[in-house]
Amino acid sequence: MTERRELAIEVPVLARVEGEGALELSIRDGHIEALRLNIYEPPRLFEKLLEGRSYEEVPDAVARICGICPVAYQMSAVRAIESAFAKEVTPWIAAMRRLFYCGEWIESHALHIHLLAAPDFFGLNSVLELAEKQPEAVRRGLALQALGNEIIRFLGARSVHPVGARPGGFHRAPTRGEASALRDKLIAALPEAEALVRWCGALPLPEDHQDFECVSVVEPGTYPMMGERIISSRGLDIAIAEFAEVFEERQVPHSTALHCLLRGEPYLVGPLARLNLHWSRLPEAVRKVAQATGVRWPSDNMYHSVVARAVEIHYALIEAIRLLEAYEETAAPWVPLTPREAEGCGATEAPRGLLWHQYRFDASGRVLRARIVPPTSQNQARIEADLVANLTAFGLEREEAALRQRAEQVIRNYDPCISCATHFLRLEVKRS
Amino acid sequence: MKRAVICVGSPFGDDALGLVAAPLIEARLSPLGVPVLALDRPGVRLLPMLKGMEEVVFVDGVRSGAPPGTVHRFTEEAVLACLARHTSTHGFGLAEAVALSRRLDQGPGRLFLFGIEIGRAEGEGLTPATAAALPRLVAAVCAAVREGERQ
Repeated sequence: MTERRELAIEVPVLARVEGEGALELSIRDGHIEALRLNIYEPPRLFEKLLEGRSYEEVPDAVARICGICPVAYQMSAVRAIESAFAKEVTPWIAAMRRLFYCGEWIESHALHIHLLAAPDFFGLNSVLELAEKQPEAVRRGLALQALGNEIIRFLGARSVHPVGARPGGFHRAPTRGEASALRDKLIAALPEAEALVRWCGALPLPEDHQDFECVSVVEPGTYPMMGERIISSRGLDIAIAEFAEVFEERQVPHSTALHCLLRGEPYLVGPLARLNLHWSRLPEAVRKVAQATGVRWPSDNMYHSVVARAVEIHYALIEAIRLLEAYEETAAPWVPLTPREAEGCGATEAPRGLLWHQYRFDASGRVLRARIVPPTSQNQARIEADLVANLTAFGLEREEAALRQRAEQVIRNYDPCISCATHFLRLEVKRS
Repeated sequence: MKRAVICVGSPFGDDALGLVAAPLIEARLSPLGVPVLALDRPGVRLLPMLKGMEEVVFVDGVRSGAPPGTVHRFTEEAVLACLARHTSTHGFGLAEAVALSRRLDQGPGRLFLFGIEIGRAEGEGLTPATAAALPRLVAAVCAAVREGERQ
């Protein structure tokens, strides 16, 4: 038995992710003996906090879970509420929810690509350094992000924790004038989005092919944002209400986020999973630019998730323009709901992947029980499996600094929103 | 000259300083037509607000070890000295936003930061020391903006 040599590296957190956590890596005889992604921010108590509150308070409360993807939280919540109270919304409301979501994909993906992911591929530490080497790219990224925020403001009155959504629809219908002004700005940004896809496709991304199951909601006839069924690349096809029966949330001692498994196995949610599953549902114009990058879609290389995000920005821009072209004002931006004692689920595609909500209400519409399964907790087991495969292939004999940098890159591919899933990276390598 | 006062704060305790000060500053500066913006987080979303600005005056709570209630005026050198090692988006603050905006040649030209040495940043309402210093802060911000006007 070799003596165990412990190397604890005090590096302040896994850099450039949403939130904080740590990675513990034990290497014995050149093999990974244990790898644990520790999540050490306190668990979010939102599910408990919602108990006893009226359904009307839910969308504004859950928007506070995340400053980057509040729309996702609101949309999963309102759909769960409407499903519980058996109310269908109008086509106008459904279209505006899609537009609202386009804004969030653009804003969140642009932030991730430029502030968090891209510096890695130029060997730089931060967006400040990237801004020196590639000012045009950073300017373009920030302009796209601001445009995403503008779409959110169009319907949500403000871009951080928007307040425009309500159960049943939106508080206010914007005017046609506001819609056409926004449409014109989006049209002007189309060449920028295409250039972004090309730029991401040209990044020096490592080749790393892995076998994983992709999961997302499905929306008939279109690239999915909100749906009634969940599918996977290995034949899963269930109603969203069946989620809890098929997906198992498991408490693990080393993390305050729950790990979610499908048939006992890790799986992938998010932009690459969506693109892999729904490639054929993207408009021709989007596929053409995505194909020209040279990436073969669908892709089993997680590094392609950064390109997938750019492709989704391009798509969301085209989709938002389409929705705004058809925009008509309405006197009924929301439908009234009648509370009843019931349970309902809502599943939508947050920028980081499937976000599932379930609520049980009493007869007056008060929350008796809430369950929220964010995308990051679903990806956690997959991130750990990816790290084991990737770091082993990379070479475990390498120095801690190199291992840490590689581990951070792998984790960033998933754009983990640690503050949603509760919580990022100190690396501790134990070698023996 | 294109300029703005940007007040930063959260709803909690003394950290609400920027949000409490914003309407007071706005009321006094309205004849000058200088926009006063209130913001609940100073990160990357500051960038569009800084774009093209020739002068920005920030108002925020400060913790420097001075006695609570001290009114501070910091130059841009002092603000940019706060640049943290860039970690998560949660670590992307006011100094990082200003540095990135400058590096992209998007402004601001000049900047100052006014603040009050704050006490507790939890619970509701300002602490007595911060509340007592608030009129002096508002007067100092408005004087600096008027001073800028004359230049």
